[in-house]
Amino acid sequence: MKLLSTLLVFSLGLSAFARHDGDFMRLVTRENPTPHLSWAQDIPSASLRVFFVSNGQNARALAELAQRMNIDYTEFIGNMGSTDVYNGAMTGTSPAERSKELSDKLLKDYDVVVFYNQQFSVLPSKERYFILEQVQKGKLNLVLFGDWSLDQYKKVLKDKLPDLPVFANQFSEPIAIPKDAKEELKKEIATENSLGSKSVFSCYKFGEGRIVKLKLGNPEFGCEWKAAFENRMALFMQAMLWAGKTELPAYFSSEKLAGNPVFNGSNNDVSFYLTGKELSNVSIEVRIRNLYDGVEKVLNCSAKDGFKVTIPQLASGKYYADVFVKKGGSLANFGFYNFSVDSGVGKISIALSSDSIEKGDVPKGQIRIGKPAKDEMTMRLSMFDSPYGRLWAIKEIKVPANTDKIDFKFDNFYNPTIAGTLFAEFVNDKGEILDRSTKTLYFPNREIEDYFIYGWGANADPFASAQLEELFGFKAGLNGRLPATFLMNQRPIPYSTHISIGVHPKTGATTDIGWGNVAKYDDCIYNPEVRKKVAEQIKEFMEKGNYKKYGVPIYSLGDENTLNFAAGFGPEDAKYFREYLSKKYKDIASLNREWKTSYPDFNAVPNEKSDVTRKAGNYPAWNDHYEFIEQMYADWHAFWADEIKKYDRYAKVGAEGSSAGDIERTIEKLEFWGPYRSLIDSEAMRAFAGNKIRTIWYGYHGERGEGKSPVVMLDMLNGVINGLGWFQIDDCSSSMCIIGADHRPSFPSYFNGLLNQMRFGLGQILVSTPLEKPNIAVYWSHLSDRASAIDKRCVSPADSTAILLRFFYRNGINFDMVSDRTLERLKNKDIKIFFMDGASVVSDKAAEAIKNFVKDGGTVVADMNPGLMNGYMRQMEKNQLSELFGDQTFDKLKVPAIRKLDLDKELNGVKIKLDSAKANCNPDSEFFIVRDYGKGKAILLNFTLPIAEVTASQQTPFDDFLGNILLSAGAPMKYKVEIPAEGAIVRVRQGNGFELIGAHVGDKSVAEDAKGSIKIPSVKYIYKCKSGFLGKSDTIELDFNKHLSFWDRLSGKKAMPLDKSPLQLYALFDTEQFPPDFTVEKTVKLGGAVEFDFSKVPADRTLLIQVFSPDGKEMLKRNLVLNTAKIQKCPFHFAFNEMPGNYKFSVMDVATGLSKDLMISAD
Amino acid sequence: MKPLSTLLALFLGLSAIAWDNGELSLDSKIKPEEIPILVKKAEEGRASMLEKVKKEMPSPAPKYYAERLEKIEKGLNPDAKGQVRAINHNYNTKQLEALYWDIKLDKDFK
Repeated sequence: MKLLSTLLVFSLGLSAFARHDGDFMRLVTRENPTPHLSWAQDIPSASLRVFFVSNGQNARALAELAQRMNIDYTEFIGNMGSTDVYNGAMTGTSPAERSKELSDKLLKDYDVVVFYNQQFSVLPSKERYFILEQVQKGKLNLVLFGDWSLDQYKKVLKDKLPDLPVFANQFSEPIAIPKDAKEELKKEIATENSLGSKSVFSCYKFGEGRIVKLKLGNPEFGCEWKAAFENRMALFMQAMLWAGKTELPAYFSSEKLAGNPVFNGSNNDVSFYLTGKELSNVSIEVRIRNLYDGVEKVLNCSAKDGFKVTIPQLASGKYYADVFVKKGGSLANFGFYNFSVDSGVGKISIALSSDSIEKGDVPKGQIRIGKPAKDEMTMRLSMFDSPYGRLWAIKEIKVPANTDKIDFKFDNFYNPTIAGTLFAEFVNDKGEILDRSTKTLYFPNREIEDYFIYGWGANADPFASAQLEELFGFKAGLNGRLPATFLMNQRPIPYSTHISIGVHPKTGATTDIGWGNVAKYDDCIYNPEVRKKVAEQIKEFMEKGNYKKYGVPIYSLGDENTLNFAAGFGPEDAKYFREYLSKKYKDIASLNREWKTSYPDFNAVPNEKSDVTRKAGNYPAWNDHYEFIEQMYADWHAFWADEIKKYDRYAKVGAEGSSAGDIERTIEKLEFWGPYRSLIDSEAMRAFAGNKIRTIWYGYHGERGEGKSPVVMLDMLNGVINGLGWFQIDDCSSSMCIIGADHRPSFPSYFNGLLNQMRFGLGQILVSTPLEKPNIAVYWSHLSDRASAIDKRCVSPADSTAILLRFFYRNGINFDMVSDRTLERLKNKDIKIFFMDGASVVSDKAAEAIKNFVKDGGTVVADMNPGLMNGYMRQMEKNQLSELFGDQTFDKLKVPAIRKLDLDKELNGVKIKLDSAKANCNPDSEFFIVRDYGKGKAILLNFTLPIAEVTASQQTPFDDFLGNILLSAGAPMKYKVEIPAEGAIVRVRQGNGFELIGAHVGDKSVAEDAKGSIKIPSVKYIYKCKSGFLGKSDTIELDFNKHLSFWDRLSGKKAMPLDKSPLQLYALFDTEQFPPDFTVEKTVKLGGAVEFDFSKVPADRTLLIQVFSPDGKEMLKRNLVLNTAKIQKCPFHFAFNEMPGNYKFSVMDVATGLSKDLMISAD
Repeated sequence: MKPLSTLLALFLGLSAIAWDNGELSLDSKIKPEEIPILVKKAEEGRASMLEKVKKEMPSPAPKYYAERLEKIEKGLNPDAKGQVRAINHNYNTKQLEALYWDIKLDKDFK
């Protein structure tokens, strides 16, 4: 039993250990209040007990409902559970847990069970039966919002009420049929139009219980969405009150308002009819709301005036009249009607020359007036942003009498988001608005910020997307529903295709080339027919998406793009393989020389399977097929990029989270790439694609849990990426989503705080400050990596390179990478030493460049067996680098073996020692052979580093060994790093007038209060980024989890946000630094702007401007991060409808952490 | 190894039952003497549910229900295509229970 119980404990223990709190996926809290209209919070008699069944995409509606009405709710969000790889890691998501949750919750008493955009059939049959049985007994009532799955239970729905209940009189027809409504709904609403909006209700009696079906979808997002959402909430609340058998103290109706009246000034009186007991102390409030949810007027009436109000003069258009009946001061009932106003101006329309306003352009066009006015009018143009409805700009133009059209140009406008609404209002000489018309404008923004943030998916819920922008800065996401998500300030990143080079399992032909599959059996991407058809598909995709109009920051060619080397053997492939060979070798004699064959011409060259060429020892042929597939993979990405650019000349195209292939080849014609996260490949991306957009997807389970920090901090410090890609933001019921079902953050506050430290300064300073210029280079040989697979005598470059990079990381040493395509980097005189690990393949060109590097005084270090093959992968009779490392060739070479390593040498006066119990070595060769060549030296280690590192004796530390090699080559280590924490990393950047030193340790080390020090070459003024001055010293003292002392607390010192963080950044200066010196106006009118003048701040400093509203709250999405190399003068705008008062601004130099605060009065 | 693998199969089957029922948590301790009781309980539960389903089944039985019942009786997963065994005894009982309520729903409310 011991084995068994161990097994069980182990398996349960592992699963329990890996499970994270899944509450955020299925519970709805009131933690995140949003702006809303008041409706029924104050009805004393309307406290319902509600069981709310919905899903992650719609659960927020419960929180919205609870803000508008006093309810006691219990929720069941999501389906009946699953144990897939994503959900399996979260608590409360397994079928057993969900089942238990449901049965426990159904034990409670409720007045109403609501299915909100969730099918009744989502529940198991037992629970469905239970609910229907309880309804029949009158113990429960049912509200179905947007669900028709109960229709199959005909016995339940047989008693439809012929007349709607009295509450339905409190509404009229304003409900637009949702654009995405099912056809059956459209028809039904159309045929029951006589009932107006009441047709959205179907009320039933079932036994003693009540059932209401609400035929409502989610309104399309736009400037009218907010009002439409409020309307839906009002209808929903009344449906629940009726279903829950709540008798309200008074009911009302208005015959005139119920009939969709049009008011034109001749008879604007409206009467209300009231029913109920004791109506003597009843009053009515009428809130007039426009289509954009703005409250225009509030009117009151009572019995004294016969419950009559007069609709005032309003601009032409549609309105809502929200009616509130108050009895003895308490709210007794509510509802809304819609009506229209005709001010006699006739229909006004806006014709724009373009609704897509590119940077530097302005909205212009013509306004047409249906009935020209006899008197002069003023046309007022207003610019409201979408989605927040802030009014940023107003322009007034005089309209002469009898004018039916007027040209306009809205210059000097401002709009901070990517979409806005242009209002054109006509105002008479009394200041009354006669009519208005609107038009949506799009402001394409293709800018890639210094720290680009985007998400997987774009959230189509307006509440969620506002929260994502405010809390985390998400303003771009994959796909996105256009124009809806665009109007929510979410820039679309079209997921254009999913590129792959796949293989037909039977023929070996190339197929599965992405969504542009053509024949599905022989789709070589060079086939003109294939290209033509895919080009047509791309054309359709681009035209349908209309992406140029919206402005796309990047186009994704897919995620997890892959290439299969077994592909490329179809009839079409053979033809293009030969073309590839012809281009590569130029003449057949060259191919025959490398392949050791005698083909008469390229047409005679066979396209043989890899196992055949490999078995035959024809490695050049074997490699050529691999290269052909890699080229195909790169060319297919390039083809898509080129085609997309035909329709959007600004397009930046790439792929994320994908197989690299030959990374340099793959990304050559792309602007964006997301590598898989790996030490060497990521560094190669940094080295060869430094100017491209580089992101990795974060947000997986590994980052969840108490004390966990964002991995992006580490990768940003290393410089392998320059932005944040988050998986995912579009589905709030997902275990990966950064916000939960009710839109509160799904990760712990420590994690979110660190993520925002990156968003507000650290990310930008890491991107804009380049890594210190290196004097070390490391060889990146893609072919050597491949060669290590064909012969055991070829060691993998990754073996020693990984050890080398980690040594560099932990000692604050920067390095460059050099490939066959970037050999000119070896001509850089700053490079003193060049490491080539596992470099069994060395091309003629590379050999020449390396020899020249040494000849000119450089030091080259190889681990084992360099230069055995040439760049075609032909095994050479004479070593490619025999002058540097001796004439090692395959025929003399043995398979590496483990033996003891003991070396003690002196080089350029530096003692170099290493005593390792074991090392993977050339069995017969001497360790550490040094050869002079020209003015430089070549060092052949004859062993690889991994085993030698871990078995190095204490007397000869491994880091000393490598450090002394660097010293001997004239590239001494500048910093003495002592951080006794596993995986500690130090990277050094060179800013303008300062060095930026960053250190990172693992979360475990943070929890254990890791400390350390970095000794720097000279005394400097040391500042902790975003924290302040530490002191003047030649040593940086590191504390990754700083606790405030008793005296600190006593003196009122507060913890700084980065006191506890795995990433600590320091800026070192020669002189004392001061807070940013800038000027700005102290007062401003709302609708105006102040201008920060940072021209006195040194160039290339990262500044963070934090903004606090008059009520003291930080306005996260209004914060700014800028770089003074790019921006010296920065305007800050105040909207006309912004809160008046004193705004606090805190301007911080991110490098020094020194800041200056000021107040700006805006009224 | 035979007794060990039998024991393992039995144990994993039981823990799956307990897990499915939400009875098993990290601190669950199933004593060896409880194992036969749990097995008996599971078998009785299945038999009783089977009886209830048969009693409730309309005559003639609709094809969909008849096929499901046939599969469940054979210990197969009724939701899977073809002849796939149910993951365990308890899952099979749960399928019977679902079938029972499906029939009841149709009969009383459709």
